[in-house]
Amino acid sequence: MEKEYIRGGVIHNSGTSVVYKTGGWRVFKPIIDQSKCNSCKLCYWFCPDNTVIWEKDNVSINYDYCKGCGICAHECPSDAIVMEREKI
Amino acid sequence: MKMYLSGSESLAHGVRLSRVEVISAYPITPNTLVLDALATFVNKGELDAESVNAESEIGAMNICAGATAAGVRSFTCTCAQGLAYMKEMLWMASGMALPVVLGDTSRAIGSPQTFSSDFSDTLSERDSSILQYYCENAQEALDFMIMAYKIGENCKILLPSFVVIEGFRISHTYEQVDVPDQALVDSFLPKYNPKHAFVDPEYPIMQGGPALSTATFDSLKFQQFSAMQKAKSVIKTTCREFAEIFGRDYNGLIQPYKVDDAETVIIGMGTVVSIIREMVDEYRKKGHKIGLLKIRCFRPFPDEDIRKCLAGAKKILVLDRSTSPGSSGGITCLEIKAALQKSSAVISNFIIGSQDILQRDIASIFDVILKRDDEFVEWYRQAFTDDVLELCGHDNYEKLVKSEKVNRQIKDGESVQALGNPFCPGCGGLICAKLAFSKLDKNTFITASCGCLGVIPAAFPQTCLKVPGAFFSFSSAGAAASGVEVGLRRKNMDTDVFLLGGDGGILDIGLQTLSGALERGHKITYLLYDNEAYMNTGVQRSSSTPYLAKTKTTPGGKKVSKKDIMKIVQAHENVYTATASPAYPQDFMRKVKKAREHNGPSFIHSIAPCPTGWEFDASLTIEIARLAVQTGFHVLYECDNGKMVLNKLPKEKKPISEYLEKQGRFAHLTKQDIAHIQNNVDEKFNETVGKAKP
Repeated sequence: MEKEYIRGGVIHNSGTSVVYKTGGWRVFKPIIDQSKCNSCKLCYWFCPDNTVIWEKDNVSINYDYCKGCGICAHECPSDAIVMEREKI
Repeated sequence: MKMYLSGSESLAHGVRLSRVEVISAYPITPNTLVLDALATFVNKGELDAESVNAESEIGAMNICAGATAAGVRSFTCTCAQGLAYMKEMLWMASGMALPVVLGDTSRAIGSPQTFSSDFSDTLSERDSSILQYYCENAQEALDFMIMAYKIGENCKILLPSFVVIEGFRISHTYEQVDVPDQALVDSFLPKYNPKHAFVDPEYPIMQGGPALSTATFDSLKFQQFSAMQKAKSVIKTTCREFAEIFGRDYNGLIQPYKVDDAETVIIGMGTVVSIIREMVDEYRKKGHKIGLLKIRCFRPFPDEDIRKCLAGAKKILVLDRSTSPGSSGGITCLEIKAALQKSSAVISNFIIGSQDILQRDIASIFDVILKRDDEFVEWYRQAFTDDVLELCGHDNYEKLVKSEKVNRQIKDGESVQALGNPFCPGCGGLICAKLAFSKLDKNTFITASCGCLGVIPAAFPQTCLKVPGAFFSFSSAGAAASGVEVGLRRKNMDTDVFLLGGDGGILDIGLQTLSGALERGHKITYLLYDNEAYMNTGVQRSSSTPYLAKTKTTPGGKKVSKKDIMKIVQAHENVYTATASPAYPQDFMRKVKKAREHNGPSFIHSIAPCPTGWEFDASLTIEIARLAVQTGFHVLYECDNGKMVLNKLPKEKKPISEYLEKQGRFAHLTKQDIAHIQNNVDEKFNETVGKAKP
C-alpha cells in the first residue's frame, strides 16, 4: 500500500527541527577562551538558538546550529568570547 | 517609458496611474511588495493618495468600501487567508455596487498554510459578483489594473474587481514593463464620478440598507447577475479602446493561440500559459495540431467565446490549479464542461496544483493528452519523499493506529524546545520564547499564530517543540486557544495553554479574540513578543510601531504613537499582567512561572528587538533590550490582583537618544524629533511609575 502523509498535516514526532542545521549561515564564529570565563552563564541565557552548552562548569558551543549572531561575545562581561571570521 | 519592474511594482504603477485616492491594506506575504511600492509613491509625492494601514484585511476592505461609498476611487491588495478574512465585505461591496479594485498576489488558502499559488483564494470567491482577471505577466497586471477601474466603474457594471497575479511567480520576478504616460491614462480613465453612490449633504442618499422582503432581495441580486453578463461586452469594448490608445491588444476575456486548426487544445490561466505557448510551437514543429486557449477573465466566465473558439477541437485538456472538492475535478474544468455541454469534444482535466510548472512538465502533459483518447481527471503531482514521511512520524502513527502507542512524553526537566530553527541571527523574539520555554514543562500546550515565531509549533514536517502544540489562524488565535483550554478541561487534563503572539497578531488583527478570551477568563498564558512591526512580511508598521519609527509602510516615520496594549489588557478582570525584557532573564522567567501559577489568564508583554527590522547589528539585541528598560522606554513591572510592582527600575534614566541612535529605523530623526520623543517617554514613564505608588 502506498504511504501517505497523516491527515491534516499532523506531525506525530517531536523536535524535528533538529534537521535544520544553521551553522552554515555563520560569517563570524564565536571562540571561547576558557581561562577568561567567569561562569556567569549569561551567554547560555542570551543565545537565541540554544547553542551554548554547559557541562560541569565547562562551556562550549554547538557549531552545527550557531548562526554567529555575536550576542554571546558582545554580552560576555569578561571578554572571554571573540568572534573570528569563518574561513571558506 | 520602459522600466524593469517586479510584478508587484508593475501592479502598483497601475494603481498610481489610475489616480487612486485611498489605499488600504494589511500586510500578508507575498502582497507586501505592492503595499511597500505604493507607500513609497505616496511618500515621494508621486501619488496623491492617502494610504491607510489597516488593522486587518476585513478592516482594509471596509476602509476601501467606505471610501468608495464616499465617492472616491480606492484600492486594496491581499491574498490567501487575507482574502478569506475579507469575505463578508467582498459580498457587501459587490452588493452595494462599489467598484473597489483588489490586487491579489494569489496564494493558496490554508490549512496547510503555504506561500505557493493555486488561485484557491480568488476562485473560491467566484460567486461574490466580483470581476476576476488572471494576469500572465507584469505588463498585463499594470494594464488590467487601469482597465479594471474603467470596466468596474462603468454605469452598467458597478462591481468590484480582482486583478490576480501569482504570488512570487509574478509578484517577485522582474520583467521589462512599458509604463504608460499619465496623460494617456487620464484620457482613457476619467475621474471616478459616481451617480449612484456617494456622500453629499446637499443631496442625501442612503447606502447598503437590508432588503427584508424576498422580492426586493431577489431583484437586487438579479441586478448583480445581469451586470456580470453585461460586463462581457464592456470588457471587450474596453480592451479595444485600450489597444487604440496604448497599442496592446488583449482581445477581451480569452486569448486563443493557434487554435483555428487545432485538434487538441490546452486551456490554462496565469503564468503557465507562457510556457504552454512555447511548447505549442515546439509540438507544432513535430507535426501535432495543438493549440492553447488562455482564460484571462474567470468572472464573468467567457462561455460563448469559448464555444466559438473551440468549435473544431476534438480533445480539450484543462489545466487547473485548484479543485472544488466533492465535484468531479478542477474549478475551471467544471465551467468549461458547462460551457461545452453540447460539444462532442473529449474534455479532460489535469490538476497541476500550486507547483511551479516547467517546460518538461508541459511536455509530459502534452505527451499524455496526445496519446490518450479517453476522458480523465488526474492530479499532476510531485512524488513525496520518504524523509518527510519519517520526519512527520509516520511510523509512530501506524503503531498508534494498531493500538501500540509510543510513549513520546518528555522527561521532567527536559526542555520543551529542540535545536534548529529558521529565524534570523540575533532574533529578540526567539530569546523571549526560549526564556519562557525554560519555565514550561511536559504539561503544556503551545500555540502560535502567524508571525515570526509562528513556525515554532510547526512548519510541516518540522516542529521546534517536544510538547503538544498547534498553529491556528492569525486573526483569532485567542479564540482557538480558548477552545483548546475548554477542550482540555473537558478531558480533565492539567495542561497549561501557552500562546506566543507578535504585536500584529495581538494588538491588531487578534485584539478582538484576545479580549474575548481574557473576558471569559480562560486560563491561557499569553507571551507578546513585541518587535514593533510586521517583521515576518518584511517590516510594515503595526499599531505597536513607535512614534517616528521608519518601516516600509511608514517611509517617513510613523506619525502616531504606539498603542498601549497593557491598558487594554488591564481593562479585563483577574488578569496577571507583566512587562519583560530578554535582557533581564531571571526577571523574565520568574514572571512566566508566576503567570503559570495564576488562577486565570495572564499576559506578559516583552520587548523583542529585531536586528532585521530595527536595523542594528545582530550582536546588539540584548544591549538594545536593556537600553529600552534603562531609558524608561519599556518600564518593567508586574500587576497581580490590581497591585502593581515595579522591577529593575533605573535609578536614573538614560537619555532616549542612547536607545534611538543604535537603530537604523530612527536614523532620520532630527534633534527636535528626539526631544519630542524624550518628552513622550518621560510622560509615559511618570504615568506608569506613578501607578505603582501606594
